[in-house]
Amino acid sequence: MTMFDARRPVAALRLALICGATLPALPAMAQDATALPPVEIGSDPASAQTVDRDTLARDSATSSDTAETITRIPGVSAYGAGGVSSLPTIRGLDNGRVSILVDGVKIDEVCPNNMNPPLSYTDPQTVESISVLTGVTPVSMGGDTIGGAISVNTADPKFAGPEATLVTGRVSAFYRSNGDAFGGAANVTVATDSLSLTYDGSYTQSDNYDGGGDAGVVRSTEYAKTDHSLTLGALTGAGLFTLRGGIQRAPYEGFPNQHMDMTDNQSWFLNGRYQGYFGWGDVDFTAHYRDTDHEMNFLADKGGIADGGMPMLGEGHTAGYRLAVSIPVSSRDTVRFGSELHHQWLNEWWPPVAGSMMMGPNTFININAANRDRLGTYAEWEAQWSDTVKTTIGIRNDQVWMNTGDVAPYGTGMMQMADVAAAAAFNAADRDRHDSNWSGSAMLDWEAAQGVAFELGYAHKVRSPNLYERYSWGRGAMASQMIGWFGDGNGYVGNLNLTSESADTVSAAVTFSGGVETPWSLRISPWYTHVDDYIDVVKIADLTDMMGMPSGFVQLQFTNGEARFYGVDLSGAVELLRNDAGGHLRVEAAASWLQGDNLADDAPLYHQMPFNASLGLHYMSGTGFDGHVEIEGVADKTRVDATRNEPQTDGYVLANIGAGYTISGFRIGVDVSNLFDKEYALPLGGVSLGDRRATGVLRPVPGRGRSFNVSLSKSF
Amino acid sequence: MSRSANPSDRSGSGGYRPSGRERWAGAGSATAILALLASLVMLAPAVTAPQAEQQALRLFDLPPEESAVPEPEPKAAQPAAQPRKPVPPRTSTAPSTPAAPSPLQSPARQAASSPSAAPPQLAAPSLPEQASPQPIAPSAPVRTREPANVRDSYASALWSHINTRRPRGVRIRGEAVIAFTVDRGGAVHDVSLDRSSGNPLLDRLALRTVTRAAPMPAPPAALAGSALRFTITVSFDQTTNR
Repeated sequence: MTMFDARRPVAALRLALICGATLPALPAMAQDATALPPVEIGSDPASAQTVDRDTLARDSATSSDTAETITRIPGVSAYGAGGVSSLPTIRGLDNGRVSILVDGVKIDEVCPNNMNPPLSYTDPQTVESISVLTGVTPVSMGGDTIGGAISVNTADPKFAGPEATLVTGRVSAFYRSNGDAFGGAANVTVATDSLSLTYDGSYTQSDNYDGGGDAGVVRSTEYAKTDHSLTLGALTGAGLFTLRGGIQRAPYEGFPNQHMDMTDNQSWFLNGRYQGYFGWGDVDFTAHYRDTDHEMNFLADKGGIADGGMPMLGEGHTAGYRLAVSIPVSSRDTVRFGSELHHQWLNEWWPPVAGSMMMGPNTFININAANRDRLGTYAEWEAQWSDTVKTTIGIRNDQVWMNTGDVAPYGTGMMQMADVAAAAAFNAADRDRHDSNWSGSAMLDWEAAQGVAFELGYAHKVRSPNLYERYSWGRGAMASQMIGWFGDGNGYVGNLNLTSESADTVSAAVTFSGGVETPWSLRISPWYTHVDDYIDVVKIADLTDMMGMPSGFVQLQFTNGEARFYGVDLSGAVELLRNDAGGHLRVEAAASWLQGDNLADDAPLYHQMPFNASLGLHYMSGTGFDGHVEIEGVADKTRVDATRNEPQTDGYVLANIGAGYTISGFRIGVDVSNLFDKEYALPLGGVSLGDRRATGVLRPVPGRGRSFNVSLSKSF
Repeated sequence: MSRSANPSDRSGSGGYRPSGRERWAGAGSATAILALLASLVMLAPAVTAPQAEQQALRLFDLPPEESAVPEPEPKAAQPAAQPRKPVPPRTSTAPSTPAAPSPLQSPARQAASSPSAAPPQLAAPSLPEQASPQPIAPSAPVRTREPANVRDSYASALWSHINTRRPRGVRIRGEAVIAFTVDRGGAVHDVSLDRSSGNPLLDRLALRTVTRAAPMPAPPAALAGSALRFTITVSFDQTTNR
């Protein structure tokens, strides 16, 4: 067999000359050309579920929390946190265990409470698309994680046609009655056929929201933040170059389920990316750097800072690269390999508070110039055995090196003895750690028949402990209660002896689809995960308040255990009507059930989402009008982690309704979320520490009550 | 109430600050790498390989207006509106899911009644009676003796073969038309860019979409006598971006 080799100009020229000699014959050939149907090429992984720009545009009127916008995908939920900082979980595995990439880059936390997680650097107003893998994630999509993957795409460069100039973009604004929240965003691209410059910016703020029904105001839920970035794209003969830099400033963000609030977060980043596509394969190289300064203290609901409060400062840097090479070897085989370096550097310290016996006279050094460096390497083989059968098999190694400097308590007073002893022990210990983590994944896609497709995947994935799991050292009640991203008010203590956790996951999915007049699809996906050395906690003490009385909180230490998760996700859609103008009426449904068991103590795992389901009716007229009605229901949460005093929550049903009208690029949208103002507690919302100071009651964090939302946008 | 913490909190903490060297080492190395990338951009215009490649390919471009017989007109086949997926895009699965029926079994009725339907559905190459503007050219006189449905079902198999081996996109929208010839054994020849997307990157990916799928399924014996020339529209990110 010979094949015309499009990548060799010489061969092309030779062929052209031969063809040139027989030019008169060509028109006859042209008549014979048969047009095949178009091939549609998308940029998201085939098995991912994608939230697109239109959906995000609508959702941004309802929520400024990117993590919340993906919880509509079955199997995805989120730990409640600040108003723009929820921590996504996929199939029971929390934020730190799933891969979260923003424009292909991992963003490190610079906070013992994870107040500035990766998705807090994005805004639904400006995000282009989010794709989520809930099942088995191929090793090429990241290491050092054991669960699914979330990939957020912001400003992809756009280019004009030949000899043209492109000016495009959109501006938008919204208002939400609950919390008097408002925000706006702009996205403007100016481009030629080879150069593209995009500005992207957003602002959003909210006061405390009101819970549904009689729940009243939910304190410490206010926030404000702004993000700005510039993206420069250059399309050259050698490939696509993208340079993107930006800043974020979040001057305040309340955390209802933490003892602290975020009182400032400032971050800047610079990413450079090269994508080359050649006859022999693809090269994708990204280099990235980010610098973050983070401050915690008390906002007004938690007492403010008139008496000095309790400043906690952090600074983090991340630098690294990702290289991915993909080589189509034959019509059947594609080989991919890659290399990734991720350097994380973190300092965290708590300045003394003048006049405080507990918080002085020195600086409390929580994390002293810690580093966590990871070098990942993988190889993956994808084989398309036939038009209906594909396999992907990969292997990966991640080398992880961690270390940290000496630490120090606030002082050596009577009230600080627990921390004094803990610091001495920590400083005497060897803190240098090295892990070599091997992972592997294997996936099979099989289109068994017209309208019936199977996916089957297995993965062995390994994750090293993060800096706080290994290096948090404070043993005093207060010091330990400053650590943790669980929203339960408890104290957390790190553990130098932690080892990496390793997960074995089997995930299957079958998708049925069909229908001519009424196209429909149904996807059923059962899955099972077992985690060896799962990093959970054991109780080491009951905590007391300053008077020595039991505070109701416990002190926990990270430890390796064993865990098991299993469940099933369902989703389906039916298109009931379709008109010639492109309008349609569609019903969408989703449901998710899972269970998480701590096999070390035969008890439920913390923060596992109870059974939940949603049903939505979506209408588009094709002439500008759109409307939706959605119902979401969540069952009682009765399986709770007794070790952490996790509260039970009651089931609830919420209704949302909305409509919009689009004319010549303008869209006005009006919607009502929690239409019936249902009072409910967030199943993964933790306990409302923000309310306790005012009410003396520690309730689960209530969900948002009814809100009337208005949004306006203009695309050009 | 002052919401941002007092700036002096940062500096008034006994001088415990990360060293400047640490702080800038990372920034420095990132900048160095980016500078390297930037210099590549500057040098890149000198690299004209792809242009040359295109030129070479264009030598046997076959302008549609020269065709005596009504050639399948790709523009007509492009839905003017956004091609829609039959499954909701709200949290829809990516295009490769089998939600879109394969062209073989795609209903002519639907294709005729809603010209803006998803292309894979619309573009049913079978069913001679279909009213769709897409995509099979009327039989040229030279192959009147060959049964049309044989050619159409081979075209369908070919589309399926290429479609399952399609690459991942680069989040840039565009559309290129590739022409190619399949010989008796299924080998691919004369791959050319019939209509450029205006973006060399996408053009190259479109060319590769065809070349990497080779060898194609061997044509049935009934087609053995004719020159099997095809065009295929490769459409990038039309449904995923904005």
